[in-house]
This record gives sequence, structure tokens and C-alpha cells, in this order.
Amino acid sequence: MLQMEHVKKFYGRLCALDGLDLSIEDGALYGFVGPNGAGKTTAIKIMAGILCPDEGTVTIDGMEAGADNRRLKKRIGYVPDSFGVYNNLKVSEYMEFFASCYHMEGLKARKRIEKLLSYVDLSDREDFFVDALSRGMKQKLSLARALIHDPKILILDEPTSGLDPRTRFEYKQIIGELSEQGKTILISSHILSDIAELCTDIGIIDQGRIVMSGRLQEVMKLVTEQNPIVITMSARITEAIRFLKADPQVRSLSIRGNDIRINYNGSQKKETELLRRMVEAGLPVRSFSREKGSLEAIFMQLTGHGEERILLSHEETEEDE
Amino acid sequence: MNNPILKREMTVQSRGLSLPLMVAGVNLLLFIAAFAGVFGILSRMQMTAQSRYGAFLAVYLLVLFLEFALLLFVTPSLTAGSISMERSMETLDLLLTTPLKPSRIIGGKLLAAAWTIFVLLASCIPAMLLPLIYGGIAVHEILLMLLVFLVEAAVLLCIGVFASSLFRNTVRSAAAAYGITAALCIGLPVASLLLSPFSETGRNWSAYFLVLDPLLAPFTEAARQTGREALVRELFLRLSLEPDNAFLRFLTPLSLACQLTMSFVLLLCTVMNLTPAGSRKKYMKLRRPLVKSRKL
Repeated sequence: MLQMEHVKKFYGRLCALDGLDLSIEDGALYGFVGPNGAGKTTAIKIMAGILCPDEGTVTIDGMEAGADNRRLKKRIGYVPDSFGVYNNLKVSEYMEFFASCYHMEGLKARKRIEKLLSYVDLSDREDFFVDALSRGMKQKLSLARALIHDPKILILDEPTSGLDPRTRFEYKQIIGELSEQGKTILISSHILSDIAELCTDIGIIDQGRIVMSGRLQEVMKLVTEQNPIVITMSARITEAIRFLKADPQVRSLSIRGNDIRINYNGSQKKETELLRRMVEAGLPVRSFSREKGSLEAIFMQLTGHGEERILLSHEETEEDE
Repeated sequence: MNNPILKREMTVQSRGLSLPLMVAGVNLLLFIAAFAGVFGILSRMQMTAQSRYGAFLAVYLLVLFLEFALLLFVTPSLTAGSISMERSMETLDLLLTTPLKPSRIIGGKLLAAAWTIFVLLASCIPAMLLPLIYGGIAVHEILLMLLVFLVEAAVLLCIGVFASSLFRNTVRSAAAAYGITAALCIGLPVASLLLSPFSETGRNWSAYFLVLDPLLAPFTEAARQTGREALVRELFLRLSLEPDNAFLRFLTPLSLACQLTMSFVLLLCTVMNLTPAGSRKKYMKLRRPLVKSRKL
């Protein structure tokens, strides 16, 4: 288990992490998202042992990351947002170099390298200079390098950015397989669809703090529940509005064509009840459904620093009138 | 070769042409200078029918001067990009996530550069041996001078590594490396000279800082080997310091020892620059409760 408690990190006067709390269960595939400058890379570097927090604690499997974190380093594999490759080395030499950094030499290292290169589909490029590899191949090589010592935890910073659709698909497949093998994986990405597709857990960071975290399904459910109900009417919209305004559970209301969007406070049972009453009142309801939550919507709402939220309430009040 | 960094640097170095080109370039310059000197002496001998053996020592001094000047020029650049390049390629972060200690990373870089210098200096031995044809310098003195050069090169390499750990940009770190070298070589005597009017005659203690000057040990040793020790005394007198004989006698080893100590300090600073910031603080925090529980 990887845990960060009240972690603070300053770069001069700039506060990059402002009491970050994060907890990643064993075997989780954790999506770490946030806008640029939110503190993602700083948090990741602290997890990887590259930076030390100014305040707070980082524990991995109960061991506190600190001065003597060599044992922890063997548990972590890190893929930076840049490739981190030496262009003047051959693919096999690059892997051998990092194997020797983890004290793996000889046949054991050779076998591991062959296995990993075939795993990321780079076996036929073993004698190529790293410089000659494509972006996607470099990214795969970087992943293979991070796996050289068979780490328990894998930290990937923007792994799929800039990759073509095929390589992205292959990369995601590899990550999925690694997760199935029981590795704890943290992915930081701007591509929210990838996060939604791959991850079991999610943490949204903004201004150095986690603003939302939890199981992805639960987060999506929570957001969906907060979304407005969209009622599409065939006719008699004014009567429908009057009907809805009379309901104390309706917090606000807006109209777009034949669609009435309401922010409804009630439970699912009460929603059903509302639909039943509308139909009984003879209102021609064509559809009645809660707007589906998307990761993009959550992200925009949580990291918009009020801008998006203001926009929503503004829209509501204007159309309310 | 148990250091992965050293192994990698050697692999990369063996592929490039920089070392052979450097060796060829330096030797070409030295031989041109040496042969021009010897040729000049011989043609004068033909004209005057007189031989001045002191002139052959001057050729030796010329070779030494050129060799050391090239060493001063080449050496800082060998390590000035060592850490900054890793930073700019963002591979330093990767190295820091491995169990490799910063000291081993720096050690590997230094040893690889030291090997280059060793090859370069070894290749220059024939040019240095030229005065042996006419005598005046013994083999052990030439080897001693090589040792002085090696130590000075080690100091310059440490300066380069230190400068490299300060910046992400290789050009800046190279500028810093040459800046520090220039400050030590020229800045120290100039500063001492400027301070001399403010001190009592013969008691300008700032001149003692010259022991940190990379030029001093080769200068002192060359002066000793060619029987010009008076020049060293003259240098200190000009800086308004009356040096005692013991100081002058042990000036070369003293200067080398002081510079090696300075290099060691610079290496420690480099290691600290590579160690994740705050880890020492963290270490102290972890130790503190341990001490308290003992008291309890």
C-alpha cells in the first residue's frame, strides 16, 4: 500500500503540494489526474524517491520513504513523462545498464531483458540504437526498463501522451496485463478516456491537494447522482414547468428546446414518483433520464477554480427567471 | 568495472572519435612546439658553433607549458556536462530511482573522465621525453611532473563535476567550470596582489591561498627541475609575502594536498546536490525519536 499523508512541498515560495493525502491499495490501477501545474509530477517524484517532501510522510508497505530508501527503490518502477533514454546506447545495452544498476548481471539479467523486450514487442530491435526508435517504441522501452527489477509498484507519468492510436492501444493492453499480474499501478494522464477505460481508482489533484478520490465506479455514480434530470416533452412545456416548480425537491430548472433540465434533490424512488405524477397529470413526457456523468465533467467541475461552477449556476438562475 | 555508470561511459566513449582526435590534436601541437624548439637550437648551433644546454631545458619547459595549458582547457569540459547532461535528458531522475547512490553516479563519471585524461597524458610522454636526448632532466623527474599533472587534472575534473551539478544547461555548467578554474588560476594571485598594499611588507597572508591555485604546483615543480627555484620565492615576494624555506621546499606536495582537499569538499557538495533535497532533514527527523526513546 502506498500512502501519502499531509505531504507538503515548496519550490521557493511556490507551494507545489499543499497537504496532499493519497492512499493507493495493493493491486489498484490508480488514475492520477489534474490540470497542468496541479502538482502531479511533484507528487509522483516524491513517491518515486526522487524528491523528498518538506512536510508529511510517504509510506510504502508500511516503510517510511526517507533517507535510506534503497529497499523501497527496489519496489518501485518509474516511467517519466519524457522517455529517459540514452540515445547513444543500443536497446540491449540500455536494458543491461539499468539491470546492472539493480545489481542484475550475467545470464539472469540477459534472460530478464529478453523476456521484457519480447513482452513489449521490441525483441527484433535489440541491436538498434535507441536513437533510431520511434516515439512509441521509446515509450515501450522505457516501460520495459521500469520493469527490469520486477517492481511491485509501477508509476507512469503521462505514459500514453503523444502516441499513435495503435501504440496507445498496445500500451494500454500491456498496462492492463500488468495490473492483472497484481502490480499496483499509478498512471498520471491528461487523457481522461484512458483513465476511465483502464483504472479502478481515481484521484483528482488540484492546487496541490486531492479534491476527489476513490473507486472510479463510485465516483462516477456519485457524479451521476448529482447530474440534472433531463425531461423531454412532446408539448405543454409551460404546464410541465409549472408542475415541476411546485415540487419542493426541484432545486433549479432550465430549458433547452423541448428539454427541461432539473436539479433534483430526491432519491431514485422519488424520481420515479415524480415521473409517475407527471404522467398521471397528463403531461406528454417523451423521455425522463438523469444525465450520465463523465470523467471530463467531473474534472472540469473540480478543477475549474469556480469558473465552470459559476457558469452552471449563472445559467440556472438566468433561465430560472 | 563494477560501476554501471563507468561501464556505460566507457561504452559510449569507445564509439566516439573524441578521444582519438583529442590525443592526436594535443600530440601534434606538442610535437610541433618541441621540434620547432629543437630545430631552432640546432640551427643556432650551426651558425654560432656554440651549444647552450640550457636551451634544451627551455624546450622542456615549453612542452610542459603547452601540455598544461591544453590540460587546463580540455579537462573541465570533460566533466562539465556529466551531470547537467543527465539532467537535461531527464535520465538523472531515472538513475536516482535505482539503488545507485549519488556518490557512485559521480564516481563513475569521474573515473571515465579520468581514464580519458590518463590516456591523454600517457600519449604525451614521448614529447616530454625529448630533452632526455641532450640530458638535463632525469626520467624520474618527468614521471614526477606527470604525477603533478595527473593530480591537477583530477582537481579540474572535480571542479567540472561540481559545476555540472549546479545547472541543468551544459553550456552554463561548462561556463561555471571554466569560471571556477579561472578564478583559482588567475583570481587568487590577482586578489592577493590587490590585497598586498593593505598588509605589512612580507606579511600578506592572502598569498598563502595560492596553494589552491592549479598553476602553482606545476610551476614550482618545473622551476625546481630546471634549477629556477628563485622564481617561486620571487613570486611570493612580489605578492608581499616572505615565505620561509620549509614552505617553499614542500610547496608542491602542500599545494597538491590542499587542492585535493578542496576537490574532496567539492565532491561532497556535488553528492549533496544530487541527493534528493530534504532527505538529510528527513533522516534527522527519523533519528530524533530514537534518541528520545533511549532516554526514556
